[in-house]
Amino acid sequence: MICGIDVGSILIKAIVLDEKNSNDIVLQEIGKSIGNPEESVTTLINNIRKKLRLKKRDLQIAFTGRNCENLTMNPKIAELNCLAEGIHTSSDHNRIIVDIGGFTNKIIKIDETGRIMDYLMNNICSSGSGVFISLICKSLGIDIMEIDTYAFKSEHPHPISSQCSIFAETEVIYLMNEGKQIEDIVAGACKSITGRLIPLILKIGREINQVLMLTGGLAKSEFIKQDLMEQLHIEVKNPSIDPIFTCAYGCARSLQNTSKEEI
Amino acid sequence: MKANVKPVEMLYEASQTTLGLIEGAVPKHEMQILKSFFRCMESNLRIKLEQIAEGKPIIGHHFAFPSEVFSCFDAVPICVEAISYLFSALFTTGSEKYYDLANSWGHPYHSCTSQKGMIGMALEHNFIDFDVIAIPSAPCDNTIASYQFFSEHLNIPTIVADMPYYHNSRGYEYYSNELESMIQELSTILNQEPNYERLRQSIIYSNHAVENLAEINNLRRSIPCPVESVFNPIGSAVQNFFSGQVEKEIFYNEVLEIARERVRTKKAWRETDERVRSFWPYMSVFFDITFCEWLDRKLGMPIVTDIFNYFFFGPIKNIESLDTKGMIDGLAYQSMEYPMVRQSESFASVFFEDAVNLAHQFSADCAIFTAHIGCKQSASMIQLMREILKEEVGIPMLTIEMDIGDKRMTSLETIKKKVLEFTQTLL
Repeated sequence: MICGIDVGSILIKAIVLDEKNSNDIVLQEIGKSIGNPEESVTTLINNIRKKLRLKKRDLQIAFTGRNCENLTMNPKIAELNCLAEGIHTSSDHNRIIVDIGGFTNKIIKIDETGRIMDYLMNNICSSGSGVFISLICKSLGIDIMEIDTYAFKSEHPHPISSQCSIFAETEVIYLMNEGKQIEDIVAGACKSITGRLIPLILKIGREINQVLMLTGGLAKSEFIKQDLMEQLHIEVKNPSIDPIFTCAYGCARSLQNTSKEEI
Repeated sequence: MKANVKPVEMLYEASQTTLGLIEGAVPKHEMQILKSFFRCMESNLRIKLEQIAEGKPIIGHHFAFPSEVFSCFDAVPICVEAISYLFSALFTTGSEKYYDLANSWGHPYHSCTSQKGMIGMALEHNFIDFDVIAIPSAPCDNTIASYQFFSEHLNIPTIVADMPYYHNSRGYEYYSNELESMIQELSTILNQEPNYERLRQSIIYSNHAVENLAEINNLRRSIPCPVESVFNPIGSAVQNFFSGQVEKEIFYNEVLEIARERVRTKKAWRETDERVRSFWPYMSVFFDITFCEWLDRKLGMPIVTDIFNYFFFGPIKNIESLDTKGMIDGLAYQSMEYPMVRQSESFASVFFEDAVNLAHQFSADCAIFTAHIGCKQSASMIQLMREILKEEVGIPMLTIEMDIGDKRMTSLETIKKKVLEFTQTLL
């Protein structure tokens, strides 16, 4: 079995593939990476082995993600390459990838072989990424999984500053005190995420007339997906695998394609 | 009364101790260029301090200025921007305290830190007692606005040479007249007659430096690159702090010898093989020069050149027989084609053409653009630069938003992470 582990800024995502059986996904596991990623990864690996009743030698593992540099475990594969591989091997429509991660947004342009042609990432502020919406939800006292429920109810989305997560959080508190509707604040926050993404998308995919592949935790939001479609006038899709596991999946596939010496 | 030059004294002490440390602790064949720089720096600062102690007047100047003209006078030229960024590079506390002082005084946080360091020092009464300041109206509005602090708030006589927008014969002539007027004004303020034979000697030093840098750049085209990446930030300091002084000639001469020897013997000078040749269309990071060592040793990614380490002009010809006007004409031309001035003070196409030429000439595999928050006009060209380098040279460009002199805006760790990720997509 082959396992790809994406050690993200907030979550650790692991995917196990059965290479003898058309690379079927055997297991997907998730853990938290904040604090001690090494310990969290070890626990996750032990859980996987336990669940699949695998001996150490039966599970080949590779690591990727924002936090994997801090691990002592090897081999490590570059995150951007894993995302490209994950989309390339799991989807037909695969030229522009938009990954909304915990702390970073990545826009990747790949060619027909899955090679990265260009990419862009948000800069030092995490505004517009997963942690941004988490902070807003926390201020509003709602669960992050409920954002679509609220956002779709909104009739007048309220624009939220997207330059800085902390400013946005403060702004939300003001808006609540002014009596603004939660659904309008949530929809405004989602729109500020797409507002941060669209310039980046247009920067490297100005000529896009194909399908845009959305990955990462916030790719699950239908509201964000629809807003991107409306504003860019193109089709926005999720990969055939769970979008949050795309990078882990690409990591497993890269491990399969590359000998350990080459990584 | 003795002039206050505490920042220069602090830099002298820092140069002395750093030189002692690297010469004592680092093996002889390692970090040769850095050692050469600190030897020149220590000597240059010592001489400056001795001259100031003798009571010679101090001329503050902008980095994009042909400071050779100051050698007409028995005075000590000191580059304002170099002081800010040398503090940033040499002290662990950097210049951040001074930037904060300038910001809290009312200077915008997004203006360039290259002048803000000195503004903060003045606000802390830890300043250099300039007798006069001389600047060009280039390369940006931000610069001119910042210098108003020195002229209006500190009442330091400030002379501005008006640099025209058009870089043509009429423009060069105009700027030459501006430099001539500036010399006359300086003569009045300093109460000294200009000595043009000293100017000639200063240009001779600079001519040698220009020739040597051209030869160094020829050698840097070799694969592997025979010059450490740290040459780029310290090269910028050399350009701006040693202009028209013998240390500039000495430094480039020593670097040239080191590079020649490395190319001749093909001897590896670092453990890591050269894997990716990076071209930096703008500047390298100043607030932590260890970053350059990391690029060389950890990534095998030399900086083959950057905006400050390539001259688009040659030496001033026939210097031995030139008359005064000829010398000033030559300096005016060099000044208008000076690194950053050439790219920022004229049409944007110059910046793009230079970047494309350099990326080709140095066989760059990629470009890295430091989008310095204070430099609005260069940062505004990022997307076009990306597209042009991709289309015309076929190389990708990474952009990192930062303040090249303030480690708090984008930390070194974040910069390294971005560069590492970029490298991984290239290999």
